[in-house]
Amino acid sequence: MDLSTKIEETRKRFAQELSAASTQEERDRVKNRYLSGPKCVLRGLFGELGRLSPAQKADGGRALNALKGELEEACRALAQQDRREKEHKLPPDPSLPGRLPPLGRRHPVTQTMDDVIEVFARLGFDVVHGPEIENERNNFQALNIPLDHPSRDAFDTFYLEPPWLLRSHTSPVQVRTMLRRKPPIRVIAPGKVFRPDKADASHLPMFHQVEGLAVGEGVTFAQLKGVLLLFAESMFGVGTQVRFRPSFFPFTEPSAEVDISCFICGAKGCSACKGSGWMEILGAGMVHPHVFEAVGLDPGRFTGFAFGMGIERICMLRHGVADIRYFLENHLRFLEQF
Amino acid sequence: MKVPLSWLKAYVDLREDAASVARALVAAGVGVEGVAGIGNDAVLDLEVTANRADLLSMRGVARELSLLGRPSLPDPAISFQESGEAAAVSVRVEDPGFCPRYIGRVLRDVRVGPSPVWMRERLERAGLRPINVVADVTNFVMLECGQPLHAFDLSKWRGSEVVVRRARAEERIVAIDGKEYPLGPGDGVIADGAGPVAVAGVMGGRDSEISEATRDVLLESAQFDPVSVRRASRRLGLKSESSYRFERGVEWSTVEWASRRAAHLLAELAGAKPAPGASEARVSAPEPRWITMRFRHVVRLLGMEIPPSRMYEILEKLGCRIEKADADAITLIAPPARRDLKGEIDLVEEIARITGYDLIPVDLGLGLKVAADAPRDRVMREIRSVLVTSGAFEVLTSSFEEAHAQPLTKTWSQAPLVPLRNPEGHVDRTLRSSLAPSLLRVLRTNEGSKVALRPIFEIAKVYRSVAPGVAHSDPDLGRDRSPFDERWVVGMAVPSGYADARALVERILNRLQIPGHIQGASIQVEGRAIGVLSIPERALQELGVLAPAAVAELDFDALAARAALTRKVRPHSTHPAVVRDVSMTFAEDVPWEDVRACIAQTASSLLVVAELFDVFRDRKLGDRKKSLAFSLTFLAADRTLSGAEVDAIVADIRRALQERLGGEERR
Repeated sequence: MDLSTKIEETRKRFAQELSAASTQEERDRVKNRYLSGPKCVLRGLFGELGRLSPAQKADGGRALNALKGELEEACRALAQQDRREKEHKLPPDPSLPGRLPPLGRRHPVTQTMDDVIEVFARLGFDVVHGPEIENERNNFQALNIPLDHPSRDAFDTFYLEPPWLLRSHTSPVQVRTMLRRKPPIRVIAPGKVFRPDKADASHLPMFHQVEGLAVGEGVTFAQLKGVLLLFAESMFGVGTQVRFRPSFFPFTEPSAEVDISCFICGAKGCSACKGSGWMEILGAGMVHPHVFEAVGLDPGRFTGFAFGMGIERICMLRHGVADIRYFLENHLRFLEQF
Repeated sequence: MKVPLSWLKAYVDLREDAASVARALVAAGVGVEGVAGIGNDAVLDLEVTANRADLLSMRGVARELSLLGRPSLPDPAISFQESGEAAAVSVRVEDPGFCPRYIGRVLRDVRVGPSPVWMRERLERAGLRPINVVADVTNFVMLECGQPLHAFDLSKWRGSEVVVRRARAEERIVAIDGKEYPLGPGDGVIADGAGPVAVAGVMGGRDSEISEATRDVLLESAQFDPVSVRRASRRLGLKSESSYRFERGVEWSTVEWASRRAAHLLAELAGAKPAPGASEARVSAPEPRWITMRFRHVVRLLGMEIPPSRMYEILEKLGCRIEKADADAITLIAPPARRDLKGEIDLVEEIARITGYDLIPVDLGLGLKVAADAPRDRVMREIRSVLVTSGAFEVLTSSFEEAHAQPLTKTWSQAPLVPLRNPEGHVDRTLRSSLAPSLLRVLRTNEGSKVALRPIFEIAKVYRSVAPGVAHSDPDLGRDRSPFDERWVVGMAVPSGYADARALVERILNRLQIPGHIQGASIQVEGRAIGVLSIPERALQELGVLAPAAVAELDFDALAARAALTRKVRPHSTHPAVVRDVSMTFAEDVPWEDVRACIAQTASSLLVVAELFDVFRDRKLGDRKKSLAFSLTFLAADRTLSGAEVDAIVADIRRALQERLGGEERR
């Protein structure tokens, strides 16, 4: 009998034996006899290749490999069918839990920070950083906040060895940026800031801000309004209204407090907006000429706007967090909700 | 500042309710914290920003409302009869820089009793406690015009000279609160012939305080240097309505107006007889503040066309004395009461806020620009993403540490910690030099509430002083290099122990394509330690963490400098892989690392994965033996591997493990 006949025989016999096998065990025995181990049928047939001429050997090899694939496939198909049938007979419980590996979480403050950064990145603002340990000049004087002046009351400060301190806002990054880059400048500076406040439901001695700065020839208050309107709509939803109220910051003039329409009650008035329909979310204004002078830019040529916001506050508003201290307590039951 | 509407109406004609007044003020930038109703009156609680000292009085708020279109009313009356001899009191100011103007006025035969009901009511609604007619009048005038006054009992005055000077060494004063305060050399004082009787602008002394027995009064109205008053007030921990106003600056001409207004009220309400004239020491009146404002500059800054005629109108209403105006610019003298108006930009702000910020258009034409790439930020995001997808929770902990004698965990530097000074100058805290203690505290907190623990991490800065002569670099620090080294650290705490912490570290290195290896507690890259990894037994014990947690800290800058985020792919095989499971018994002291290395050396390039899936120990294996079960995956790029080919390689591997590491086939 030549090889091809033997292959044909084997194929038929295997099919018969497999279909005759009624249990998994019997089927395994058939499979082993044909496919597994040095003494199996298929190995025997491969052994016969040695007696053939090179041309026949190639043909025979191909045919045998094809047969092997076929037999394996048949076993696999039958096993699969078997499994399906078995599963079919068991009472199904679709409520059984999956066994996926658990997901971790970014901290909620990071999530809000990343969202804010992303919105401004889309508006062409570069992200820049500054050190947390600053000097008095960058934190105060260069920002038009004289030492021993009541305008410093809003910026109580942790001191190291004078003149070093922990920055009380991200605004010193404005100073550093303008010293290092030439206009046009369009940057945001996210980071940690520190103030010696007693921790309570709305204060922490350490929190996060994002500072923004745009400087160029012909940067206007109207553009500041435009950028912050786009930010508010991206962050809090299309249709969000923005309100600018005059205010005072030493390093900007004109200065503004910026409110957004309450996204919780739709500006109708609720506890989150204290009934006013508005939520205060940031401070902004046009860069004060004294700040330009402190960094060697000509206030006759350049104008600019700056803004700053507290990330924890925005995060609390978005997610309905009642107490800012939760962010530092790190209870997993709190964090896993984000 | 509390402003009773009824009082305000004495100076400005208001025909609207408190809510409407509040709205107008808010729109103009005067914060209103709240509006409280008292009977048929209402009290506005104003939040006055540091630049607007002029708003710290009823007349100031009235002036603002006039600017916003409400008709102003005539100034309060001042008329009194002077009588008796001229007072024998002279004023000497040693440092005119500290006290540019001082007026001392003597009032005789004052009947010190309660002030009339209407005055007591106004003071109470404004948040001040009525005391007696003299104190009440000084407070009333202060709230009316913003100028603080002080009254001394003249009979207690030693000598006849009022001296305004800096305190001398060792001087002390007992203030009206009954406490004794040691004075510092910078503090301004009012002194009589024997010594200080008041801390100038901050608080009066007990010995010269007005009492029921007082007959003659010396009334002080003065201007003090804001910085000196602020320093003295902060140093002594004494704050008063007076110091609050002096810190923000009082106005030259009001010094005199207030003195005369108080004399008028004391004559009317307490039968006081003002002595002729007043003793005054003064430098020349402040120079008028000339400002030129270019109309185009306003438009250039605001991005809004405002007609020059409109700007002219606003400035005039503001009380500016307009000296010159043409098509391009306006030159004026700023109103004396608005000491915050110093330059062109201050006038721009006035025009913007009186016009109304709402009317400034929204301009979306800032211009398109691509934000610059921030590779370090991307590396940080990638690390965060690796950790979060591996099931870790990010936490946020305080940068402060109690000052410990010894660090609880091994850190990246032995340089001194960074101490924080509290307002008294003491060091009670330091900036942390490691994230590990805070991370372990988070684990303990969660252990305490019986939450299933998870790996946690934080990416934050740690701080050290720079040891002298040691260079440090931080990409965040450009100029102004500080003597402190602050650097980003990736810290993690893994409650399930060392192996998982190590796997997390390896995963981070792998994702960033940084070839690194871990040697015991040290994470090494290119022969340099860039992090630590250990189970900090002592810290766990001290902080009360029950889990055998491992902590790792990686130097972020070292990672960012070496990270490659863009991956290059190799062609991938589409042929089936062949998997063989192997289990062999080894002596206890043979680490998996050695087994893996031996397998890798022996196998051909067809071996793509060698993965340990079980470590098994049993008496049957023999003493100090373990069985390692691992699976080996083989794959060829160009063909389907035959079982025989793979079996031959596996046999080689088994032989090598047997010969080199004493591996035995499991029986």
